[in-house]
Amino acid sequence: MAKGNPILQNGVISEWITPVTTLDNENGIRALADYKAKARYIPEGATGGYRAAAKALKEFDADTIIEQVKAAGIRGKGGAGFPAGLKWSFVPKDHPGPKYLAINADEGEPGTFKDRFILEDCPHRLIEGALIACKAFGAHDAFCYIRGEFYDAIDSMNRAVAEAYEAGILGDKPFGVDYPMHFTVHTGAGAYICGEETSMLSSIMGERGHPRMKPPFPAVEGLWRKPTIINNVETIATVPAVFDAGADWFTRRGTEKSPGIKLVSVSGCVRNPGWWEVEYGVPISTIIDELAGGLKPGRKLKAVIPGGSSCPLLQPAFVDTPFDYESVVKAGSMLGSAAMIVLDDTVDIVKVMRNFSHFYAHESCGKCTPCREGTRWMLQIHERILAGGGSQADLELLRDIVAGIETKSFCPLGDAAAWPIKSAVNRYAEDYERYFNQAQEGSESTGNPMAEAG
Amino acid sequence: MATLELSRMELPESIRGFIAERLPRYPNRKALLIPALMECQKLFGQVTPEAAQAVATELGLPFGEVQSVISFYTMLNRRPTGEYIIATCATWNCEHGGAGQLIEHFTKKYGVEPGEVTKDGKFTILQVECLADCHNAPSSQFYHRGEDFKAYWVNNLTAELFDRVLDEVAEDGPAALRERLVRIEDKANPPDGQRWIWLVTTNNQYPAWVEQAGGEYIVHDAYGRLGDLKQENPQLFAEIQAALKG
Repeated sequence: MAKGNPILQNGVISEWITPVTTLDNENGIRALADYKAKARYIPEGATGGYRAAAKALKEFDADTIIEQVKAAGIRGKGGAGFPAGLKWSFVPKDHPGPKYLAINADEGEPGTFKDRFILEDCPHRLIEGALIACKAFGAHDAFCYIRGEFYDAIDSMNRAVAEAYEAGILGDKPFGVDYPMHFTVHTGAGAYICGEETSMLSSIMGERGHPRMKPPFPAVEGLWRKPTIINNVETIATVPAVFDAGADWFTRRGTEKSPGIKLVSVSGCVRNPGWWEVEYGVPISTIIDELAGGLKPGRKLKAVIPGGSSCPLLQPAFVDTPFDYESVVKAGSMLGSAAMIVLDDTVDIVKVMRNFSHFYAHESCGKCTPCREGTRWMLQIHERILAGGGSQADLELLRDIVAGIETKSFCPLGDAAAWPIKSAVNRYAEDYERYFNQAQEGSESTGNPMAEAG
Repeated sequence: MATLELSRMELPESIRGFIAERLPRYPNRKALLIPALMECQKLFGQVTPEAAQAVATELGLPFGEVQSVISFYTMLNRRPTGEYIIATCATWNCEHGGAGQLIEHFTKKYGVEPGEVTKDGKFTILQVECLADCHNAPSSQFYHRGEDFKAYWVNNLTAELFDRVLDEVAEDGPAALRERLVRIEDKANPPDGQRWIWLVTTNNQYPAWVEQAGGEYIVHDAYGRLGDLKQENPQLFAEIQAALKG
């Protein structure tokens, strides 16, 4: 269960992390800080910018940094929730180098729009985090892979990188320390699959965005076959706070297994869609009602997708589930990238699933058969059902296809495509059946996915 | 057997400079392939076989390998596009917000399908997947090609407003893509007794609350954005003030 405040209070957070908007329960909704001014900080000065990076570079050795990040319990915020400090410790210490940090800014999961604001409004916080992370495992080069559509973010990052070079924060001697650091913004060109870590590496190396076999894991053989750590933007942007505020600042917040804070993006059928920073363990209902303004008047909750389009749908009975990795899994879904999509009772789940399967069919890279073929079948079946050609047998057929994709695809994109549909078929069968009852008056369907597909 | 014959094209100086500037950061030239192709896309609105050949030569790669990469990435167009590419998101949040009506309106208005160029050469609309702008659904980006390439967010729109934006862009150029007030929504639950409003513009949403003092409206910034707006976009700020009075 959650401990402490359900929502971080005024002032605390924006000192440390990212663009933040949150509730001040006493004074109503208001700004926490002029985050643009605060984030556009240049070196240690009145604003305290890069204080943590300077400390890490000047005073700490690699092990100390990793220990601190482990102590703070920072978990990967891109979706998998893997502990960041532990990941960094996988890089072989005796490797002669070069080693690389690759920051994943491919933010493409439908419903997710949190990293964009770090890149656009707090670019220096990301560079600062990258400096610390690189020191922790002995890298001198950080690549930030930003999806092609984020032109504003790319501009903002490029500007910040130039400022940092000029201020002597990046370059041959950051803060006068003999530890050369380079930060490079690398653009993608429109492919969701490049958010998958090994596909992202392929893309940075100038190839089609195809995933690669693991092992070897990227921490051992990544970019150009050198040890590479891949972290999400938000994870890296959180790192400086460990050295600014101390590890116990994190462990005092959130839950035991998911300490600290998380940016959530809330979209869908809410009155005030947006992004907020919350402690892990806040009930989902609090995020929907207090931050996102609740549902439109007269509407009832139908489903919550807690972590972006690849997560199973949660029924209204689970709306008080604490928002942390363990509790959301226990409730039958995943926290993913904390992109909450809220669906109310006017929404037709079959149409949502048609849309999602269109997304995954379009974004499947085509490398492996279960995902390439399966995502298209799921799309065709949904289109056929919506056109009135469905039958009860389609539910079984969808379950069968899902079973053929999940855990059998080369990379997690297949799972991402299958899981929401699996949950929709099992938890919202009545939405599908409504179409079947209409269809019975028309012609009989064979239930063969290829019948309509041609 | 057919052979592909390309007329030679010199890679523009700006793109050669782009590559040269970044090369020291990478262990090989190939790594710059996708960023370089994106620069071509920004400049020409598409990556022609000639441009692909020029990039291949510059980076020392086989032409076939470059084409294979181009065919993988959806932002790299292999067909001619209009002066403005309109990338309209149709993933669920935007579909639910009415993206379908925008695309349908466009195809009816100009009599062209997504991916085709309008007869005046101005626009190409593309249905794309999630743009990470779900809180402003339905969301689109306008890409204006050329040396001074710029991407503009245009979202929060209905089909009628979209129509107006298209006409104004055709008439006035990129200047018409500036942020404009679309509507002011009253929020149902004022948190502290103030009039709490939601300013919806063509490419953003600004939560604010309003205080009435002696016939004047004072707009209070909710998330630290409106303050910037007053300086960065006085025109929009004036529109908001006028709408509140009216």
